[in-house]
Amino acid sequence: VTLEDVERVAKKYISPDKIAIVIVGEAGEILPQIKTYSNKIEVFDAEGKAVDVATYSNANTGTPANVNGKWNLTIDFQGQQLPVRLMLKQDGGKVSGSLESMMGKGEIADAKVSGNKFNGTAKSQIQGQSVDLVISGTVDGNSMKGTLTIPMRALRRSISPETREVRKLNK
Amino acid sequence: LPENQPTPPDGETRSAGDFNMNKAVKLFVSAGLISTLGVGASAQKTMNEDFRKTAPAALAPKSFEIAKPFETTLPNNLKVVIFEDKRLPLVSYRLGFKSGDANDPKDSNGLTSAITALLNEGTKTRTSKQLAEEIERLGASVSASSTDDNTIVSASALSLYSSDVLRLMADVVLNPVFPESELALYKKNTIENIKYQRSQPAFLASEQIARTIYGTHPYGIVSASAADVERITREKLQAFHQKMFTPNNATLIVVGDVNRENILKEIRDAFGGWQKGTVEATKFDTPPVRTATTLTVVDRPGSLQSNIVLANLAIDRSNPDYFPVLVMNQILGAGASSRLFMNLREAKGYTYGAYSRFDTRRLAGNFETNAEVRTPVTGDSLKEFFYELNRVRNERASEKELRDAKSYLTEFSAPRRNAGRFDESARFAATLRFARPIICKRTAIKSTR
Repeated sequence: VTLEDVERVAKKYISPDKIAIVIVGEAGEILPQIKTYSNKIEVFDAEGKAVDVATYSNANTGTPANVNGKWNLTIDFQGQQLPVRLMLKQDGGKVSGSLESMMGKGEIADAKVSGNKFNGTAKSQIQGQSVDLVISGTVDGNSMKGTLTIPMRALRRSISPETREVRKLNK
Repeated sequence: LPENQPTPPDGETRSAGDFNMNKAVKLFVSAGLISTLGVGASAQKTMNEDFRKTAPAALAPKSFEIAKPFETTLPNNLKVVIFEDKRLPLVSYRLGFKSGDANDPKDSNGLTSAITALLNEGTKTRTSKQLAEEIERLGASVSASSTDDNTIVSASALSLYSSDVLRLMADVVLNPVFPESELALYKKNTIENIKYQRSQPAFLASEQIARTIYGTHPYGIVSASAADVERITREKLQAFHQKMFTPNNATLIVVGDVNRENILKEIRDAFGGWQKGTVEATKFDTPPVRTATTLTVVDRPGSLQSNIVLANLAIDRSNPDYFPVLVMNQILGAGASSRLFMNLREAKGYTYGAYSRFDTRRLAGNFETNAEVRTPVTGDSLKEFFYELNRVRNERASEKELRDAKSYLTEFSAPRRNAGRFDESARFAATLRFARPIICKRTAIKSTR
C-alpha cells in the first residue's frame, strides 16, 4: 500500500458532500449549532417518530417558564398510577431540587428550563445502585407533561425500564 | 520489548542492581519501583532519563503465515476444514452457515437470533437441563450466535472429549425442539433488552444511521422490535431452522489436538445423515443512492452529550481495495494515535475518543466515523470531523504516517496479537476460511505492505 493508494481510496470511499450525519442528544441545544450542515434536517424522538423541527426553534426562545415550587406528579407505570414528588428551586433558567418516588429520593442538580421545556437528571440510589433518572417535561402554567426515563442496566430484570408519562395533578 | 531498546545508564536507579537480568525483567522491576514508592526522587529520575525521551523504533516486520488446513466435502455437501494443532490438548469446532440475520423473513426480524439463542435449550433426546449438565460435566462449551451475514455454532473442550462434544454439537444443530417454556422466557428477556437498548444513545445512533444508509436493505435493521419478538412461535422457529440449517450451506472447521482420520470418521458419523436442502439465492433491496448531505437528530431530552455519527456507503468485504482502505483508515481514525483522536480529543478536548471505521460485510459496507461530545461543542466537533475527512482526501499523508499505520496493522493486528491464544487461532482460522475467503489466498499482513 502506497501513499497514492491511501489518497485514492480516501477520495473514492469517503464522501463528505453526500455523507449522512446522525446526532443523538438534546435536540433543542444541538439544532442551533448545526443548521448550516444540511438543507435537509429531520428530527425523530427516541421511539423513531418524526418530530417537527419548528418545535425546537420555539422552545429555546422566550423567558423560562416558572417551575419553582412543589409538584405532585403521577407516572403511569404498566397501568398503575405511581406518585412522584418534585421540589424545585429556580434561578433564571437553572433549576435544582429533589425528586421523591417509590424508588427512593434523588438530588436534582443542573436541571434547566428553556422556554417551556424542563429537563433534568435526578441522581438516585436504588437498591444500592447509583441511577440517573432523567425527567423531561413541557410546562403549561401549573401543569407539566412529559417523561421519566429510568436507564437501569442493574435493575432491568426487576423493573421494566420504560419511558412513562408524567402528569401534573396539582401544584 | 524491542531489541534496540537503549539501556539505561548504570547506577542511575535502584533497579540498576538488576543489570544482569534480561531487559524485560529489569524494566519490569523499575516500573514496579515507580508504582510502589510513588514519585520519589529515584523514580522521578527514572522517568526523566534521556533514553525515555524518544520512542523506541518499531521492530522489523515478522513473517506471518497461516497453517495449511486439510479440506474435504462430505456427500451431503458439508465442507469440512481441519487444522491439526497439537500445541495444547484442546479442540475447538465452528459450524458456520452462510446466512444470518439479513436472511430473516421480512415480517419476522429476529428469527435467526432466536434460533441461535434457543438451539441448546432442548433437543429431541435431551432437555435444556440435561444439555447444560452434560456440557458442564465435560468442561465444554456449546453456543451459537448470528451476525447479519453468518450463523455460527461453536463448541470447545479438552481434546480428550473431542467426540463427546462433537456429538453434543451435532444434536443441538440437527435436533433442537425449541420448547415452549424456553421460548416464553426468551421472548420476555429479549423484549426487556429491547426496551433497555432504547435508553442507550449509542443504540439510537446506530439504529438511525443504519436506517439512513441502508434504507430497506436488511442491513438497515439493527435490532428486532418488541412486536417482531412477540410474533415468534415455535412453529416458525422449527420451519426456519429446517430451511436454513442445511449441510450444503455450511462449513465445519475443526482446530486442535485431533487425529485427522479419527475426527473425520466422527464427523461422518455425526453429520453424515444430515439431509441436503435448497439454498435459495435471496434478493435484497439496494441501499439508497445518496445525493446530498443529510442531517438527522434523534432527540433525547436530558442528554449531556451528543452522540455524533457520520457515514456513507463504502466497500463490501470482497472489494480489492480492502487493504488500502485499512491503511487509510488507520491514518484517519482507527486508533488512539490516528488523526481524529489526536484532533478532537488530544488537541480540542471535545470528547474521550473519536474514531472511524469501515464496516465491510458480505453484501455491502459503509464508512463510519463517530464521537460522543459535550453538547455545547456539537457544532465545533462536526467542523473538525469535516476538516479531517477533507484533509485525508485532499492532502497526501506523510511517509511517517504511512509507516506507523502499516507497522501498527502488521504488528498489533488481532491475528498476530492473539496468535498464541488457542481459541483465538480457531476463531481466526474460522473467519479466514469461512467468512472472508479473499484473505485466504494472500494473508492480511502481506497485503497491507
